[in-house]
Amino acid sequence: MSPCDRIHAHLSALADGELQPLEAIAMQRHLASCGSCAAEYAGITELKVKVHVAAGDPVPSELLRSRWQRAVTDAQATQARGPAWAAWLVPAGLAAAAAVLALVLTQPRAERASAEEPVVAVAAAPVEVSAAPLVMLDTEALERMARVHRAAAAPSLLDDLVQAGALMTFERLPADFMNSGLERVRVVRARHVDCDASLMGSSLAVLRAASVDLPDEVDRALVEQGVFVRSLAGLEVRVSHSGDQIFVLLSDVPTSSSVDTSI
Amino acid sequence: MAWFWRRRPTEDSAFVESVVTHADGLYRYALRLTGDEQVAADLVQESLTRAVEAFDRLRDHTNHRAWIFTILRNAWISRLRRSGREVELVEPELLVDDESPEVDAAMVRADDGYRHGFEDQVLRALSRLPESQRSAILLCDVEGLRYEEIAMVMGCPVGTVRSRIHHARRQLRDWLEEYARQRGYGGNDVAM
Repeated sequence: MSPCDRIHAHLSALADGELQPLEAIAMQRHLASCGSCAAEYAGITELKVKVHVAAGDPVPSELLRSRWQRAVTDAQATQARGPAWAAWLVPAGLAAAAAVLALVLTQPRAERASAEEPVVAVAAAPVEVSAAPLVMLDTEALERMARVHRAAAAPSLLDDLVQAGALMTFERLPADFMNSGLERVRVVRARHVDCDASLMGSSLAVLRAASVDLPDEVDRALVEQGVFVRSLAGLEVRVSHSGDQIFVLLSDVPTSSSVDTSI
Repeated sequence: MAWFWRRRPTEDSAFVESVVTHADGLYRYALRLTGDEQVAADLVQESLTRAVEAFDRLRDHTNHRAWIFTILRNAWISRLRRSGREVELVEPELLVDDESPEVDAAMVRADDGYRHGFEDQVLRALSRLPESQRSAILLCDVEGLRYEEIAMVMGCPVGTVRSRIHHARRQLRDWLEEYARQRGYGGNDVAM
């Protein structure tokens, strides 16, 4: 099996946004330089669209929808009433419960206490995700990420992005991650608040593409090359994407050019 | 005594609303799974009512969308087993006109009939896939489920979903390229 054959096996996952961030970046770097794999990838993405269009119809009729809604309503009513045997079982159950309660109350208090299960009420906080763009991934935002990566700025705004759902993660990667080829690499997960300039390596921010507005130059580079690379104060910022996710990779490797998309 | 049974009353929850929201997707999936509009409609209704009935046994963190697709697929597989049919052998009739006359390629290209014909071929090719691959593709490309959700629906590891989708797409592209060649179109015309 040739290297390109191995890549082809992962192109579907790339098109579906299902690759690990580093895998996606490595794949996109390869696609930028391999016409055969790029054509294969284009074919897969086009097939996805064709399947979506062809199998996306028909929608059910209003009549069907009404029928389903009635079925759901009936099921709710049945569930609320309980099964038919409840009419005679419940009184019997209540009588039994009363007997058990009387028995329990006759026990010493200490014994009852040891038998009680602790009751913990956990309130699940709903997470609201807005459909509107949550963040502009402009130069200022990239520079802010770079400063946070170097521990030169507080990560408070990034924290806000995490809370808002735009920034999904921010990871510290092994120093040799860029040489990992297409093999799955070990990703050392860390929250962005753990970033420490004394630790060599790189950080990765994963943003939801649907929630991010990209500046033209980044957007253009992603479309044309699959990867956007920029140097910010000696820190390499690498932006790539897979499916509906955008990866921002911050590396301590200095580059000579300010804007370089010729990777 | 109705209160006795209402541990998590569905009428007070957004659950029912969210489940009904998935009805269109369930119907699309059921239709491509069964190839029969009536059976698909029945399957959706069965899935929705089962979901409501099972609601109070549902864990809070359960992915509702994947869960209800799971119910539908399991209901379909149960029907097949009751009727003594093997799941992987299912090749439903597609809801396309198989008797349409052959049309001159140039005319087809001119009136865009090729595009519609090609969409029918996509459906036909989908129907030729084994159910496991067809489901994976439909849930991914049409319903937009993540691999993890598809794995839940199909009761298999995520890696298996990934493999099924890869092989399904390769097979689909082979069939569709063959179809395009037979009608005088090159690979570039279908961009496969």
